[in-house]
Formats: sequence, C-alpha cells, structure tokens
Amino acid sequence: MKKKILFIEDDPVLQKTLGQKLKAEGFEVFSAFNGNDGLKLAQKEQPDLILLDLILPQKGGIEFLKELRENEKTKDILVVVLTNVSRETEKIQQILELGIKGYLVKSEYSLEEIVEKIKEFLK
Amino acid sequence: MNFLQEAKKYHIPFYSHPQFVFLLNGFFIIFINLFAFLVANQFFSDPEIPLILVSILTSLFLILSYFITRIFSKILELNRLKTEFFSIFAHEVKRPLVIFEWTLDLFSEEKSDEERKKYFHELKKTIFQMKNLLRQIAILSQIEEGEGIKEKKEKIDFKKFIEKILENFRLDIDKKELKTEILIPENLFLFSSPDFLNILLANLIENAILYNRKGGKIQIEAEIKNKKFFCAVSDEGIGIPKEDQKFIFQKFFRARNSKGVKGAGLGLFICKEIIKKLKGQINFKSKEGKGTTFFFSLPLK
Repeated sequence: MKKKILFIEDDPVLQKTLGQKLKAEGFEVFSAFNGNDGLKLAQKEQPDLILLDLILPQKGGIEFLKELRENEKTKDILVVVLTNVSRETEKIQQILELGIKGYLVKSEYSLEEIVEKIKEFLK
Repeated sequence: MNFLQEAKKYHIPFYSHPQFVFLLNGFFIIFINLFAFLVANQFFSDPEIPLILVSILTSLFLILSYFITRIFSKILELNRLKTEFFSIFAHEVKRPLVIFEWTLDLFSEEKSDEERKKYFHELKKTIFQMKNLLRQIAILSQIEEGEGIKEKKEKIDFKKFIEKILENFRLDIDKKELKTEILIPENLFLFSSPDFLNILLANLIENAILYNRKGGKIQIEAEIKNKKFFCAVSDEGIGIPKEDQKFIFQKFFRARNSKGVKGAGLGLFICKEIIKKLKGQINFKSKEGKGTTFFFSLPLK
C-alpha cells in the first residue's frame, strides 16, 4: 500500500515541487496551506508522516504540533519539520519536546535528498 | 530594572548597558557630593562655596552623561535592528533559492517539453522575485544614504507620469484582468523628484495589482487642493486586517493575509521613507475583503 504523507506548506511553489516529487516516488500526498486545514486532514487521512513548515498562516507549526499531540487520534503520527528557520531558533527546545522525528532545513537539501531522508524516517 | 532585559535582548553583559552605566554614574556622583560635604566641613571655614561648586559641576556631569548614554542606547538599538535586518534578509533570500533548487531538480528529471516549459517559467519568476528583493534593499539603502537617487526636483506632468508607470505593469494587469481607472485632470503639474515619485507610485501600484482580486479595479486619482498635491491609489483586493493596520508601514512587516502574495515586506516602508524625504504625508483606508486605498499628499514645490 502507498504510504501517506501530509505536506503542510504555505508556499504554493514549494508545495507543488516537493508534492510532485513525492508522488513520483510512489507516495500518496495530501497538502495543506495552513495549520487548521492540516489538522483536519491529519484526522481524516491518518497519514504515515507529516511534513511541517513552521511559519504558517492562521495556525503556526508549533501550535499545530501541540494540537496534533493533544488529540488521541493523531498523537502518534510521525512529524518531520521542514522549514527555512535554522536550527538555532529559540523555540527549538519546545519543538523537540513535542516529539518530532526530524528537523530539516530546506535550503540544505535538494529534492532528491529530502525524499531520501523521508524514506529513512519511514523505515 | 529594564536594562537587565534589554541587555539580554542586545546580547551584551548588563554592565555594558548604557542605562546601567548611567545608574552607576548617579551613585558615583552622590558619593562625590557626600565626600565633598565631609571634606569641606573638615577643612574649610566656609564650606558652602566648595560644596555648591562641586554640586554644580557634578550636576553638569550628570546631564552630560545622560546625553552620552542616550546616544549609546540609540546606537545599540540601531545595531540590533541591523542584525535583525540581516537575519530576516538571509531568510528572505533563502526562500527563492530553495524554490530555484527544487524546481531545477524537477526540471532536470522532466521529459515532457510542456512540463519543462512550466518549470522554466517558474524559474524565471523566482529570479524576478530575487531581483525584486535585492532591488528593494538597494533602494532602501540608497534612500537612507541619500546616494544614487536623484532628489533633484523637476516639473512633472502627473497624468503622463502615471500612464508610463502603468505601462510597465501592463503584463501583470492584463494577466489578472484588472481594470484601471485614471482620474487625473490633464495638465496637472507638480514640482518634485521624479526618481522618488517613481519608486513611490510603482510600489503603490504594484501592491494594488498584487493584492487585487482577479478582474478587480485599480483607481488612481489626483488633484491639487489648498496648494497641496493629493493622490490616491485604490484596489478591490483582500484588504489589510484591522489588527495589522498599525504595523503596515514597518520594515519587513507583512499582513497575515498576504501569504499567497510574494513580497519582501519592504515596499510600504520604502514609501513612508520617501514621503518623509519629500515632506509629505501618507496614509490608508482599508477593509478586509473589500480593498485598500493609499493616499498621500505632497507640497507643490
């Protein structure tokens, strides 16, 4: 069965490029532009992994993570943060405590490398 | 104990904070006065004279140190803003670079010419955005330094001036199927810096295009009233949320509903700086979901 990935990213171009690449690699991809829609999709689709940007409209990445973890249905879903905010953010401790599988800085990887990472996380 | 928090914010030890230095200075001066009091009482038959002298001198010193520490506080704040500016700038540059790299990855794998064309278009758009960001930064430093941009005033035929700017945006206007309405009388002249005015109006018009709804209208009005020049640029776009309105002219600020629109958060800040230079005023009216009108006034000469 195809693995499901929920990709929460507010930049339409990035969403399209990585989304397309993931689909080509055989994943089933769901996309959301903000935290609110992301939460709804997470509950409905029960993805195997969530790719999460931190700076999002309406509901930011951290609030999204909090609510995701509070909900019985979604609390165990793997989350990988994919952002341009460098690891040296003041909030990194808070994010790590909310339980993430990985923290990827977009500008450090090519599409290929990101897909590789995701495959590793899903093993 | 405000300086304790501030020292943290500026990443300096608390004893380097100007406010702390000033406080220390104050204590030192009280000590000098007490010391002078004791010494004068002991060794002078008429102690009031040296005491008054010492207190006048130390008061002057205190006032002087107040101004010096205030200047240093200002420099600290400016320095912090510069650092902040750089980190935001780095973040802003990263974004298009990531888009560029990822799109290029897809482009190199794609076989269909049709799809490749689309990626190619995306790449071009990204280059444009990066150029735009760098251009805005360059304009900003030029305005701040007063270099490169001619402040020299010339007689400007405003209607022709606007038509020329609109022509540069023709493609974007057509793409969004926008209607333009120019309500400017013929032979409306003002005496101003064309360089500055061009940046100002191009920014306002660009916003009116970018934030407009598809098929919306852009209206540009101008008139001369009470020996002042007035201009308004309106759109029928997404508007600015009420909570965000007071921040809209701040550097790098972007309203919460602007995510889908590309921008560096510098355009309106630049407008405000230009208006300041031209000794005019700028303001706006906006309703979320309905549209926004920016209006400014300038002296005629």
